[in-house]
Amino acid sequence: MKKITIAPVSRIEGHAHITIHLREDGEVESTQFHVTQVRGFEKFVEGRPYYEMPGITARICGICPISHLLASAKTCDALMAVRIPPTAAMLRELIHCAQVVQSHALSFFHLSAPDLLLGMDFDPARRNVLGLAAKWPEQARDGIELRKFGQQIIERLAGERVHPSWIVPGGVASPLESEAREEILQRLPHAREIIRRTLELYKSMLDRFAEEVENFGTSATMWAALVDPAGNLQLYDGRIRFAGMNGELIGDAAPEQYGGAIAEASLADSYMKAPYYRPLGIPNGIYRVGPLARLNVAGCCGTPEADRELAEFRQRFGRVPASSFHYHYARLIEITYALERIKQLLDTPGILDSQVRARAEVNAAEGVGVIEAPRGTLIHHYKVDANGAMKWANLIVATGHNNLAIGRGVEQVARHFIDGNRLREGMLNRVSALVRAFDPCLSCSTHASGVLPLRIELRSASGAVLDELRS
Amino acid sequence: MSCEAERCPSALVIGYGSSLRGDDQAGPMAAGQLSRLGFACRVAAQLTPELAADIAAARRVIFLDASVEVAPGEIAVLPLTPQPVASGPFDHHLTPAGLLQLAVDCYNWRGEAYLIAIGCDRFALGENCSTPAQRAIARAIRAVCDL
Amino acid sequence: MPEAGQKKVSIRIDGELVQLPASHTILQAAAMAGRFIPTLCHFDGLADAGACRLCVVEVSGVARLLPACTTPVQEGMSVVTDSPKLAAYRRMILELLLAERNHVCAVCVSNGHCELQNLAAQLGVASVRYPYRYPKLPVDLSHPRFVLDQNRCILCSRCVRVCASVEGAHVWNVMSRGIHSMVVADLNDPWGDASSCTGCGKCVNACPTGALSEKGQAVEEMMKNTAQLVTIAMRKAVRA
Repeated sequence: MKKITIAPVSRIEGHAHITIHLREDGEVESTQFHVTQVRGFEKFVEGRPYYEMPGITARICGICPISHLLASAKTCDALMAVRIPPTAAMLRELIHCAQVVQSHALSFFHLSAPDLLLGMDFDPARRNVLGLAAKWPEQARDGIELRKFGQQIIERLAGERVHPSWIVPGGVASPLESEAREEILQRLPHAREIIRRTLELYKSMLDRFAEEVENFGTSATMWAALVDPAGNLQLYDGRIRFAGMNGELIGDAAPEQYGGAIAEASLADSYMKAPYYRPLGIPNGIYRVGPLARLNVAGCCGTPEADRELAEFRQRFGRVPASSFHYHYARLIEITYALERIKQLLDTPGILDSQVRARAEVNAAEGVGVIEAPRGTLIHHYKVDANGAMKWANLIVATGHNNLAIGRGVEQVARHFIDGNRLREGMLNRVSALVRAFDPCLSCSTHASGVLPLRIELRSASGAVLDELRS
Repeated sequence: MSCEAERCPSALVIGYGSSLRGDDQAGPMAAGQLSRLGFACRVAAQLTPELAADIAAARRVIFLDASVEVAPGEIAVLPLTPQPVASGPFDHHLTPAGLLQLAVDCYNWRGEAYLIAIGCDRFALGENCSTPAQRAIARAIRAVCDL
Repeated sequence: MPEAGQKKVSIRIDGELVQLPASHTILQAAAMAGRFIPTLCHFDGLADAGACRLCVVEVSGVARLLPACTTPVQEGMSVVTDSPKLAAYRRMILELLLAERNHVCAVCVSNGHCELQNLAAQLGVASVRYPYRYPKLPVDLSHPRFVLDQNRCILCSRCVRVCASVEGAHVWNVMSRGIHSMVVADLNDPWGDASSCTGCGKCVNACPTGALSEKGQAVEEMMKNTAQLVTIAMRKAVRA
C-alpha cells in the first residue's frame, strides 16, 4: 500500500501571518499581524431569499454554526420587523449558552491548557492536547465531557446535525420537549462540578504565570460587548456597550446603529478589515471583544456562582483586568455563568410553551442582528429588495473586532519576550500563546475548516529569517 | 453492493469536512450514505475532542476525509494507529491519529482504525462535489463495506 | 381502473399478464401489476408530458427505450420495467438533471423532502459523471406568498399542467428550447405581476423540488402537500 500523509492545511486558503522584525542590536523593531480573507461570500448570497441566510451562514463555520444561525436569524427578525415569542427567545438563548460552554471548553482545554498545565517552555512537540491527555488525563476528560454536555443540548434541541436548521427567522422551528428538559437538567450537575474543579485548578496555577499576566497585551484598549438594560452580562441580546480602558462608559449603541459606533479600516493589501470605535479613531478607538471584554464591560454576571467568581477575579486583578492572558480566566467564569443560565432558563415557566415562531413577510429593507458569540460580538447586517431578495451583506466577526488589538498585543509580547541576541525555545510560543488567548477562529473571515494556519517569523535587521513557528 | 453493517456491530464511521466547500464534503457525504446502510456514523465539520467519547465505545473506527494527496477519483485505505501527533497550535481540530490517542489516554480505548482518504481536488465555495470526488465517494463506500 | 365497456387489451409486464383498457399507458399497466417505475414529471390526475424520461422501459420488438407514461398499451405488448440497462439510463438521466442547474441541497428549502433527491438516493446515484454547468439563474421573489427558484427547476412542467388543467389559470409556461428552457409566468413577467395567478399554490404543491416554495420557509422546511393535490386533480380528471 502506498504510504501517504494527509495534510489538511493544503486545502486552506486564508491564513494568519505574524512577522517580527529585529533591529541591529537584537531588539524588536516592529511586528505585523496579517490575516488574509476569503471573498466571494457576498456574491454567493446575492439574489437569494433573505430567510435562507441562517442556513447559508451557518455553513461558514463548523466550529460555531450556532453563532451565525442566531445572528442571522436575528437579522431576519429585523427584516421581518417582528418581535419573536418570549419562549423562542429563551430557547435561542438556551442553545446559545450550550454553545458557549462547548466553545469555551474547546478553547480552554484543547488549545490553552497545554500551555497552562504543561508550561510555556514544555517540549513543543508534546505541548498540545495529546501531551495534556498523557499527563493530565482527568483534565482532558473533563474538557471532552464539558464539550459533550454542550453538544448534547444542541443535539437535543436542534437535532443531530452538523448544521442545525432549528433556529429560524421569527423564532425556532419547534418547542422544547419536556423529556429534553429533564435530560439536560439531569446532566447539568456533572458539568457544574467539572467547571468548579477546573476553576480551582486554574486559580492555583495563576502565580506561575505572573510574567505572562504582566506582559500579555496589557496595552490600553477600549472594550466592547453586549449588555442587558441594567448593564449586566448578556450573550444573546442587548445594546453594544463601549467602555474605556478603565471600564468607564464611553457609549452605547443599539444593534442597528452599530455603523455609527464602528468603522472598518481597510489595512494594507487584502488583509482582513480592522474595525475600531468610530468616534475615537485609531489608535484610541481600538477595542477588544470576547469573554474578557464582556466581563470588563458588564456590571455583573447576574447569576450567583458566576458573580462570586467574578468578584474574586476583580479582587485579584482589579475592576478591569487589562491583560489578555485573562481571557482564559474569563472563559471559565463564563462557562459557570452559561451553566447557571441554562438552569435558570429551564426553570422559567413557559419554557415548554408551544408558541415559538412569529411569521411575517419582509417589512424592512435593512436589518442588523447582533449576538455575543463565544469569541465576541458578532454582527450580521443585510439589505434586501422589496421582495426579500438579498442585495448586500456585511458580517463583522469577533476575530475581526479583535484584529487591531491582537496586533498590538503581539507587539507587546514580542518586545518583552524576544531577545534577538539570545534565541531560545518558548519565545515565539509566547507570541502564539497571546494570539491563542483571543481564541481567534478565522473560519468565518478566512476559510471553512476552523483552522487558523498561523506563521510567525522572526526576521533580523537584514531581513533573514532567524526563527519560525508554524501551525 | 452488499453491505453487512451487522457484521461489525461496534464499528463507528466518522465522515468529516465542510458541506459548503465543494469536494471537502466527501467524508460527510460518504458517511451519510453509509448510515442509510446501517452503519453507526458521525458527521462532523472537523475532528473535535468530544468524538473521543464516541470512539471509546467502538471496536473499529473508520475515518472518511477528502484528500488532495490521493489522485482525484481514487481512494487510499490507510490503517491508523493512535499517535500523539497534534495538529497546529491554533487548530480547533485534531488529526485522526491524534483523536485516537486522545481516546486511548482518556478512555483506554483499544481497537483498530482506518482512514479512507477520498481523492478530491475542488474546494471552492459551493455545494456540488466534482465528478472525480463523487466517483471516489462511491469507492470509499464500497471500501468501508469490504473492510 | 378499467372502466366497463371499453375494449381491453392483454399485455405482459415483466412476464406477468395484465388486462386493461386500450386507452391506458404502460405506466398504468405497471401500477396494476404492482411494478415500480420511477417518475418525476408524472403526477396522478394530470396529463402526462414525457418530460423527464425517467420512466423509460424496454418493449420487446422496439429497439429504443420508450417512456412508460406516454406510451399506450397495445395488444400482445411485452414490457420490461427493470433491467441493468434501464437502471443505468435512469441514473444517467438523474445525473444530467443534477448537473444542469444548481441543486444546492444543503441550503435548499426542500432538503430531505425532495423527489429528485429521494430518487437519486433510491436509484443509487453515487456520482455525477458530467461536468456541472453552474448556470447563473434568477430567483423570483416577486410573488407575495411564493418563490420560484430557477436554480432548482428540472423542467418537469408539473406546475404548468396543474395550473392549466386543475386551476384553469394557465399562468405557467415553458419558454425557449433545449438548455435555454425556462418556466415563466404569463408573458415572462415577474410572478408577482402575473395577473392570471390566483395565488392558489397548486403549482407549489405539484413541484417535485425546491423550485417552487412558500415564502419564508427555512432550509428543509418546505413539505409539499402532494396527496391532497392528487385527490383534487384525480377528481377533476374523472369529471373531464
